[in-house]
Amino acid sequence: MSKKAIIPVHIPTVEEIEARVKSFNSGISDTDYEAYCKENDVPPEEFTTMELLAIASSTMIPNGASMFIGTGLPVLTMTLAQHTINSEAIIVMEAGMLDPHFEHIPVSVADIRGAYMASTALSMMDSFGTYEQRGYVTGGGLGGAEYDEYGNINATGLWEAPRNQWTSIASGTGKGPNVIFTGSGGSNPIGTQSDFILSVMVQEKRRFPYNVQFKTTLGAARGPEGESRWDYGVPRGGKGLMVSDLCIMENFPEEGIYDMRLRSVHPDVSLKDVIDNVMWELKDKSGKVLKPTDDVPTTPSPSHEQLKVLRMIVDPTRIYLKRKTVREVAYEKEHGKPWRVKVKG
Amino acid sequence: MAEASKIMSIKEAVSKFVKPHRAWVVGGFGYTRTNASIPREVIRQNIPNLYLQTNAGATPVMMMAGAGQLDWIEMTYIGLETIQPVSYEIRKGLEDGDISAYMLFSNYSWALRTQAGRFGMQFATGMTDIGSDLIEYDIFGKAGLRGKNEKGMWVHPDIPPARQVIIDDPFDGWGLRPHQYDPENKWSQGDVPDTTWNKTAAEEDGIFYEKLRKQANKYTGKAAVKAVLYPPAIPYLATTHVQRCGNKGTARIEGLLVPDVEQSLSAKYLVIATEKVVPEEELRFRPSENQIPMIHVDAIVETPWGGYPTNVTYMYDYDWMWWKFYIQANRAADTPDGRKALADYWHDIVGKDEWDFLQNKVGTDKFEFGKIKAKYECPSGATGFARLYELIADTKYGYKPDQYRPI
Repeated sequence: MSKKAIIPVHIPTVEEIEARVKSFNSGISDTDYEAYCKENDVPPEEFTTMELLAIASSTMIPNGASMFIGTGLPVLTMTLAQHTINSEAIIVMEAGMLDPHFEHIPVSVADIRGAYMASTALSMMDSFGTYEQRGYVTGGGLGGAEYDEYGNINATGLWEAPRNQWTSIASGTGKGPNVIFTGSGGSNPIGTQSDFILSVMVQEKRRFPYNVQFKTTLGAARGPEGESRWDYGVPRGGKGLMVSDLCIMENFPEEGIYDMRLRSVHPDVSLKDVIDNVMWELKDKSGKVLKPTDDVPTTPSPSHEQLKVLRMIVDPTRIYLKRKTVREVAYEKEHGKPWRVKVKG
Repeated sequence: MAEASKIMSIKEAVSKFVKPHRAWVVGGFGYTRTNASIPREVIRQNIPNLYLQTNAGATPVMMMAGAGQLDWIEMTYIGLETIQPVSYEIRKGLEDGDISAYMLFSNYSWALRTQAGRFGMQFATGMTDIGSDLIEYDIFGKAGLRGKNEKGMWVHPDIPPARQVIIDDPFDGWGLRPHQYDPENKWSQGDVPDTTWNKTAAEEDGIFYEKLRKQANKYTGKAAVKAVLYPPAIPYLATTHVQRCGNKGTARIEGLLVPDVEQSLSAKYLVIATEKVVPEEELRFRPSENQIPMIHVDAIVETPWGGYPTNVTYMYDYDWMWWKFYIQANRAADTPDGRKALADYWHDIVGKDEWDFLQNKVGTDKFEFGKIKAKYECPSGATGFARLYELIADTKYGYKPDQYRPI
């Protein structure tokens, strides 16, 4: 098989992102922005991890892409992309909505708020069939509980002996697995039928194992050689992006690289933290195993203009932006002040 | 011969149609148009060992699990999304063994099953779940509930003989999109690539997709394009909440359809719970806007506010403050005693009938167990119908745009 048989989705490069962000102006005055920040007690010059994740993810959506998204961060990501540097991007939601333009943030993929100004609001069968299987979804925004070297997602459960994966009717222990997660929902078909997966997760070592316990959603491969998604019959996809609260990772299936490689480390985060929070040997794109002292790219800092839009237009009541990561909560406890990073540039 | 009326009380419908260990698919999805009134009546009648199916509609499953009446579930997602990552009483019920069987699907594989069920097809095909561990997770198979018994009859009439079957595509991938067009073929001279947006697996000229597709060598022992066959869903009972239903059963859903049309039409028996029973003519002036044909409907129950605490679009919004209350209370599911206390809450809050619930119970939720103290609190302090009227939807949006929704 020729490697070039896989046409990659073009994920904007760091340089392209920086150029587009630089030329974007929100039209929101500094006075209005400062008044908003004062009223909501957020520093105008600093951003939180949740804000960084929403902004970083929004810049990596291919121009005009249609994205199948869940609630929470993906809603912020896509709404922000539409209001900033990617106005042609399209949202698909699994309760049947195509190309909505939210006026009020939906709390569920089946919240009627998510259908506002949609082209169509059909059924779930249409989301996954008419829109996605038929070939009109570029990417999917997915979360999960575990994420592995090949981009596989576990959203199902965890077990340790004597417990196994089965529930009590067949487990032989009278109990089910140790931990049950949400289950696939739309995760599996979104990952199977779109050209790329944008995963967003909190990065902890235990959640980033070499191999997830249950492969709810397939990444580029189940494992090394001979285990690619195409060996199993998946007809498209394979490109993966992981935006964690520490870094961004990416694979390059068009070049035969199925495992996730480091793309950039977030501002004010050390490469050591990133390496310490994955169970596999973290590599850069060239395949070099990274050491904490290596020089690696930094995720572009959010701009003032992006922050203005995210705060004042996308989530003005801070339904999602108020959330803190586990790492931020720990930082606040230790230092007596919230984790904040200053806007650069 | 006069036709018997399908309209009946919710009490009668539940005692007639809801059976232990028979597949009951409940309509709605999360916060939207969930059929909540019939689950409330099932709690009143305390019907045990329920076998529930849903496509991501965790709300009724959460209710039944909370009330301690669930044994088997066949579903795709047990999260409550923004308000609680995993519905806690379902999760603990599964982990501790109270809910004994959990048959996993993805939203699309389940939708394909209901699509096949709706049309009476022997199976539906798609590519979802392939390559994942979902394909191998067959709890009903492991429990011996599939296939035929010594009499040559199905072991369980509502459970198909296999979770799915994977075959080599007999049409050699012809139907997969993007479809293959060859600009050098005499019948398609100069043709351009398929107009669909996905391009993965295309050669650089964008037209030859077969190489990757034919690399697949798992499952069948042969390198060929694969196809997954999903059996139809044939639930014993479907219960679906709608805004309006005619007196003969013609029903119309407004707003999001979620999985309800396919699910409803795949069942052996269909009970429609409706905000309002209307003369058939009211719906027949625009039959193209109706989704449920009256021939499929076996019973109609009028249950105003029957979707509460979820949104019934264009009529009323979800009651966010109830969810805020409940995710505190359901933490009690951690222990058997806590689960008992939670079941007591459910058996009390549903009242003696729907009228009692709506008038006297809405907004009065209170739960205490050990260190857990949860109380329903809405800004106005209103209860009963006064609270329900606060949730009435804005007709432009279909929801209440200024609803207070603290996280």
